Amino acid sequence: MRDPSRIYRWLLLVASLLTVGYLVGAAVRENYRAQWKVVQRQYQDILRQKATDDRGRELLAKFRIDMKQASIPALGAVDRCVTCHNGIDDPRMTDVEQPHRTHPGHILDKHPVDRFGCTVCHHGQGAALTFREAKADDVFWDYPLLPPEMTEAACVTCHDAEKLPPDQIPLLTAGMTLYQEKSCGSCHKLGGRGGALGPALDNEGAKTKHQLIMTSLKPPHTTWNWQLAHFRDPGSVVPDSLMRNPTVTRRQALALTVYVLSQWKRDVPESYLAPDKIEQKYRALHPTPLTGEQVYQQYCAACHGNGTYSRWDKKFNRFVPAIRGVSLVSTATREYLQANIEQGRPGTQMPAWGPHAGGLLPEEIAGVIEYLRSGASAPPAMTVLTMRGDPNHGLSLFLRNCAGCHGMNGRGGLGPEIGNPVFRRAASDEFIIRTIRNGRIGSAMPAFQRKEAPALGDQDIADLLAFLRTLGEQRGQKPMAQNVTTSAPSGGRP
Amino acid sequence: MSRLDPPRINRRSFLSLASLGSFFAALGTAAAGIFRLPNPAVLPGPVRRFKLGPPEQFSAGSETAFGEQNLVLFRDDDGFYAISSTCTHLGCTVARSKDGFACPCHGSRFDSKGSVIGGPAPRPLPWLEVSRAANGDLVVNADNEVPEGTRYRV
Repeated sequence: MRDPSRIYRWLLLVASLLTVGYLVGAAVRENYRAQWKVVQRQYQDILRQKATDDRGRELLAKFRIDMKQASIPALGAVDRCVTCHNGIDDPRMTDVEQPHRTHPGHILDKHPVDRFGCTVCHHGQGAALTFREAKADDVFWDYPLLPPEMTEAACVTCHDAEKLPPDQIPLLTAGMTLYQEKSCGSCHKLGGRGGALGPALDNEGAKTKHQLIMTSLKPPHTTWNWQLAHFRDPGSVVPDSLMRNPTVTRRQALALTVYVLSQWKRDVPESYLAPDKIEQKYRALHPTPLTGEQVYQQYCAACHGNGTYSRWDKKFNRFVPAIRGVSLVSTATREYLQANIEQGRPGTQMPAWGPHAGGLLPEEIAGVIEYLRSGASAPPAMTVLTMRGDPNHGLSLFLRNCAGCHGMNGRGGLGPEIGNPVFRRAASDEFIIRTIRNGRIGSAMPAFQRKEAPALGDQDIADLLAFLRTLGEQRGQKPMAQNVTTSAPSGGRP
Repeated sequence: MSRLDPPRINRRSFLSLASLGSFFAALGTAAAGIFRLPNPAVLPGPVRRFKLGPPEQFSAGSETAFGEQNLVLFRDDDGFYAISSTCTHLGCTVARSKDGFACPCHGSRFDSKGSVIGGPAPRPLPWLEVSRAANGDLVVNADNEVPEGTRYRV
């Protein structure tokens, strides 16, 4: 008769042998075949080949195959990159294959790995022991490894980008210039200065991939790739973006990406900051006023172009006025322009630019008004002002001539909203009369009193003015909901 | 088969021995792996290998204090040596005195080679390992102590 326990003995033997086999395999894999150990054995061979002098032999003798790390508590970094990049600070390793090669440039002379680590500049997962995990472009790590050319974005952590040699940070310098040239400040705030249509960019570089919508982005799903795609075509990653295509080359998109990635208020101990960074922080508190032209270029041009023509904006669904057009600046008073700039135009995309809103200094607003008015000519004499207007006749004139563009009650449509409170307070009678009479050259507003065929007489204009002055009262009696326009600005990104 | 038979390895007892043997082998291997776990491969402490710059910048007979790294680097005719300036009593930073080092906290005194000549310090100030990095800079490894009198020749 067969022993009934026999089958259990076989079972135990097979199971135990499998377990031993698995454990031995795991031990070999972990202790001998680990990627970093293979790399270090390769490096040891390289050291052996290069041990031709005393120091080479000393380095070879001192080399141990073990995990190496730069742990810098002040920066919150535990970087084991040097476990595989063994030759990073060995000047003899320029001719060997990665990962053994010397760090390019002379950056490590002033930024030794022992003091700065690696991830403070390169990002990525410092504690990783394989390259795939160090790169960390999956969903589990907030700041994946930056592509080498974008690493310069991190210099700004401790340096003032304007004081660094431009040949060391070519993309960052280009991005900084492009940000001003493309007038990004018209919609985005940086350091408290800029428009309010888009999100402020002060801490854009600190954004993790979880703060950006990656659904329509081609992999890799990293923040830098998102920014790159966004600069090529904002609508491709943010479907309802108000941002216009910045019309940039691939390299310019890269430069802008590096620039926004550099916007990161990182908390770094003061001992790491370069002196110019501290000066930069001081300068940010005490800004030097820009000239009117600079202000216009950096904070107005994105919407108003060069300001001499009126433009239909598809995304805003309205005309953007020609604010340097000769017919506006020769009629508008300084106070009118100042009120519109400081307080914005409620109901339109024009934000307020006063010191507590867009962050422009009073002297900068004065400067930009001067710049806008540089094409102004002396206004002709007025006769309408002495007449008394009839608002009821004005209403019928308004409905016939104006409401088509400016909307019923002046709520705006194709034309600007002339019933808004800032306009009503700031626009002088003279300004309104002149605009009706002469129209707005370079915009859709026609002249209603051309010499050859006047559509409105002086009395008509006086009536119209009287009606326009009653607009606020009528609006004041209506529920507030009517003041809300359908094209209210929403953030550039959800 | 009775118990009085002389023991001989037959097929069945071989099977029993092999299965038990492999079981204990598996247990032993697993235990070896488990007992390795409490010893981490790398401790998350800060790096204590300090690069102090090229050796040419220290002249013979000089001594240079590195406050941040808490060590004093000496160069005499025989070579370089580094002495820790952390008091072995309670870890205050010792100051250089006329005849060696003096601790401001509890009055321990050391001679210029780090040996205790007074006060509560239980051990002499450790001598630290000096070597050179690949780029030629002097490196002091504050984690490695060397016997007193060890010099590093450049």
